[in-house]
Amino acid sequence: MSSLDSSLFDEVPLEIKPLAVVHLWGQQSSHFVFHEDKPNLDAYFDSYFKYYAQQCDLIGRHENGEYSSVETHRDIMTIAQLLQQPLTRAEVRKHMTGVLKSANITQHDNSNNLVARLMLMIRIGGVPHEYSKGRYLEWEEGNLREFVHNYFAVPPTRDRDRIKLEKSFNALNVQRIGGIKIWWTDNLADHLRMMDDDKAVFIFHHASFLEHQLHK
Amino acid sequence: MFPPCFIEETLRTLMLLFPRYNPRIKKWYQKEVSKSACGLDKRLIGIGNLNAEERQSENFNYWHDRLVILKEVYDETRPNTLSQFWYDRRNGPQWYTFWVALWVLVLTIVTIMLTVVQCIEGGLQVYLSMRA
Repeated sequence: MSSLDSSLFDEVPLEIKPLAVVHLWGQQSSHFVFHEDKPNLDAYFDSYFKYYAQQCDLIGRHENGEYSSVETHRDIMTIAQLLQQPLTRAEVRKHMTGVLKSANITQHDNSNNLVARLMLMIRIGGVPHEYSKGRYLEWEEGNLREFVHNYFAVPPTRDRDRIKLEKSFNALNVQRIGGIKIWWTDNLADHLRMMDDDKAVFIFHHASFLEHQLHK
Repeated sequence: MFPPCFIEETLRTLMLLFPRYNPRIKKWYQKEVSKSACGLDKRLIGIGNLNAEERQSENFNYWHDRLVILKEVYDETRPNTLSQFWYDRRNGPQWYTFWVALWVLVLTIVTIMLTVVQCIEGGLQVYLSMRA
């Protein structure tokens, strides 16, 4: 039995970190070499795995695990493999029925949302008991990759004048001089979105997640 | 899973807002990390810098609109508190004028106070010499 088979109700084991990274985002490049000793694993993607644990808690463990159909970390990785293929939501669900515990459509959909959130760091699917100031996206049609591409490929609405973003335009000055509060977010789709009547701005802070996607 | 160059561009927005080798930002961010409960990514301040050519809005596609809106809001704000006045050096000459004026004001108030003290002292001297 590998550490991936541990239940979502236990704390996320440190050993699954490198395995989960490979399953969710594909093989890592040699750019990120690490040693499998404990103190190092502790710091390995620590902010991402805080997010991971929090999302598992939100969806995987809610209502004693009845809210979704995932039970172990391996279930999450299985769904992740499906979501990477060009399958629609219904097709992914069909593949899930044989592999996961028997569940209804809503439970499978919630599992799908959980894994999509873990893979992309985008808040996909509404969760009624989630507290958040930002928005969520509803993935209904097409496969996940198409959905993401369509969402971010918004045609430019503003006229593209050449605006210089001077050196002093940084986060600290935005807050100190501009009086715009910075709200840290785990949701890539909320990045740079202005909130609270233009008094606050969301900033996505998971730089190591982004860098890993780049060096794949 | 992401559109081409999307991740790279997202990283560039972060490099713009969190430039590396800026001691002020580094200090501030470390404070934010220790303050926040949600586990901020410490890597954020180490990712890099943009040069002047890269700091043009036209280099951004996916995040162009949001970045321009943020810039507009930032440019429109006028400082309200004294600390905002101190940090706001976007308009150099105005900043110097403001602080010189403030300095003159402080000196004037001190001068007036000293004059009042002198008047009272003078009066007291006359009064005491008349009694003696």
